[in-house]
Amino acid sequence: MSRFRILNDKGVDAFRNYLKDSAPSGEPIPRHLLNDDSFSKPFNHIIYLEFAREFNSKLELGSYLCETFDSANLSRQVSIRNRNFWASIVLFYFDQFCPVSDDGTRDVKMEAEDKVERYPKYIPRLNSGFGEESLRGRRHLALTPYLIYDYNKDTTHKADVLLSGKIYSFGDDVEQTAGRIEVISNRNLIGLIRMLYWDDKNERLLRGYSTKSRPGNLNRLVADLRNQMKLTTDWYSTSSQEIYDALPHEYNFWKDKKAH
Amino acid sequence: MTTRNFNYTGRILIPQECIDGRISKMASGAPTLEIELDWTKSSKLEKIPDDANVYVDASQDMSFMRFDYGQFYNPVAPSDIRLSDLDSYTSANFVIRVAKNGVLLAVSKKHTVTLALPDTKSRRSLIIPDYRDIGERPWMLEVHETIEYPKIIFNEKWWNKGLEAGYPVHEEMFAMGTIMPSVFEGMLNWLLIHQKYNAHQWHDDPTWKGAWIRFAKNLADTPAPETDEEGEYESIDMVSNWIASVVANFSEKRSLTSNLMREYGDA
Repeated sequence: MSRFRILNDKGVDAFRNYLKDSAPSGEPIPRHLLNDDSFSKPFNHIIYLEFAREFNSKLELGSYLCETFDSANLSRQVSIRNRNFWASIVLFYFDQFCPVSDDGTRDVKMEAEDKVERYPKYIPRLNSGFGEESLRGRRHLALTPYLIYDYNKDTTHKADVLLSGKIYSFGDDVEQTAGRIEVISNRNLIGLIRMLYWDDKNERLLRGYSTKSRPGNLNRLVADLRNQMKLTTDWYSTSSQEIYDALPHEYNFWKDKKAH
Repeated sequence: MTTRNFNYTGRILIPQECIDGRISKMASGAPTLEIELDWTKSSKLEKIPDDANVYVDASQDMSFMRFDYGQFYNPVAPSDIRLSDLDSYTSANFVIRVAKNGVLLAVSKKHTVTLALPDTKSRRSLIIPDYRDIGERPWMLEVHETIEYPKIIFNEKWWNKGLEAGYPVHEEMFAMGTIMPSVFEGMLNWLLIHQKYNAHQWHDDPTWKGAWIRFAKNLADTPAPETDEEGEYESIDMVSNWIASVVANFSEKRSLTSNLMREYGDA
């Protein structure tokens, strides 16, 4: 293991150019950027990341990053503002964040409409404005699992319901959930999500949980219903079971599915 | 056009008069958030049962902490009120919530405190001061899409020196007179050019965005430029010129340069 280095702004630009011009055709990852003083520098916290480490799920990734940062005394307050740091982590493990398909290409996710950052899954998007850097991390493949795990690391489930699945796959549902601090910080709500949508036997989410046309889907719960309920209820002080018992009929499908 | 809100929820608004909030810097580590609550300032709160629970919910960016202040009849701060889990060590937003058996009985508006403006007593400003280590830069404007309140960030060295001398920077006429036109210009550039907010559509916005736009329109000699159906301006120069005229009027109304000259005396 070698001491982790982070990209400078020029390095981030070079990484972005790679995402745009070379990555889709499966060309080699420009990891040399992390060793070249023109494009990177040592990080001001001493961190060692295992290059050969493989992550089978977002939960494994979130757990590894949390433990590694804790060991290095790198607080969330410091890491969460550093765009270049998170871009560097993705570059470091890019083979896993954007693997090569059987046909030799990579499926590079791009947000064509976003004028601020077209590759927010790989390079965190800065909040558009002036002043200290502030990241909008809910789409970022490394930052989001880290945040969700960090909030739930003291629970038994460790937000497995939100962190299941491969590290390169990021459904709209997780994005919607992870972008809401009122969701990822509310353990009762995460417990409720597990009660409704988690398949304990197979350790994965039930099929159809995020289908927009299906009543009681995850987005309906964390967006529509939660926004409505927060006017009159305090889900932070309500147990998962109590919220579950008070859900409208729309969610009976999921209750019945779990019961059978 | 006036905006009115109708509350059909039965939930009571906890007015600002009941809340005295303060963020305090510690010798090291996270600051503390001290909240004192005085329910006697609002008769509407009398109907809340004594055994309802009081919570102080603090947040900043993508971080959140809840402090349990016990029961309504005698809210008491918990032993640890450090904002250790917030993503900022210089500012915090907070909301007071009162709930019983999961039912929300009362809630306050969101308040923001910073180490530069640490208490909630005066919260009518459009922008709040804060201070930070920003190298050799004297100050900077901080505003982005998800910020609760835009901020003027003063250089920490300057801020501390001002306090030592007994002349807090943000209260110093000379300093603020030179800074405010640029702050105003920066805010309008961000709102109208960067974010392309239509000044007419945003006039009634209840947040600081609407407040800044109303403030600017009150100072303008001509109507604010409008965006077209696609959200674009006919000409950015037109918007820049309008902003420049508003800032000029702002400076004139406050005689900013004349005041600066007076600081030099009658030499």
